[in-house]
Amino acid sequence: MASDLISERRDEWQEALDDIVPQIRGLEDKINDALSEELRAVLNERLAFLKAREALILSAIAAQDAADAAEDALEDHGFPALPDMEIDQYLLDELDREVADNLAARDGFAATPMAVNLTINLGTPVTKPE
Amino acid sequence: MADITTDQRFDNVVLSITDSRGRPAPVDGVPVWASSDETVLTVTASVDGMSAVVDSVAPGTARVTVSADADMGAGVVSITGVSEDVNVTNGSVASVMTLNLGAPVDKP
Repeated sequence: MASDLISERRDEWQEALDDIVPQIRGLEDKINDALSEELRAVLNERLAFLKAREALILSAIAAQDAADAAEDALEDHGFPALPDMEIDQYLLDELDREVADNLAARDGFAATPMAVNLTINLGTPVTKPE
Repeated sequence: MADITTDQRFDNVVLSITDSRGRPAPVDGVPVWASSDETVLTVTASVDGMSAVVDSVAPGTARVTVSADADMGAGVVSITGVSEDVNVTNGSVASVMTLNLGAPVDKP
């Protein structure tokens, strides 16, 4: 489903490019003709807009291609499976000893109690000193 | 409610700081003391903020509050303690004078 949506979007981008590129070519040709300065300015403004749109579409397509490639690489890596790594027993024993040492070291620590209550004891009133 | 007259004060108000299990707990920095109404009570805290002297000023009702930072690290977790109400009444200001005339005697 997700890949269908991506494919639809990709088609939409490509159709937009197919529409924009001839417009850009035509405007670039026309700008070289003898034109009033006012019309040339308008055509240049439109040309800049279309080129910006083209650049953004190309950027989106490139990003999509990169995402597709990364997803393929992830799948090639075996995702989402995360199998255990088999190692020799003596290495596993060594690792267990290391972990046990760490747990033993941790036993020597305790969290500092966090204050939550402030209690005020007024005591007994006394006569003020002279 | 604690009652006190304007002639009196609490000269050793003590702060107790505990965790959720009632064990003594530290705070970051010096606890800050205040009076809810300084026209009724004033508070003078000790240097370490763990005790204070609370003086009566004038009749009325006020409370003592203490706030502190419970987070011993870089953050701030503010906790506040509030005393019971302190009711201050007038002290031993002379309001009645009694004249003892003694026994009458014959004029000389």
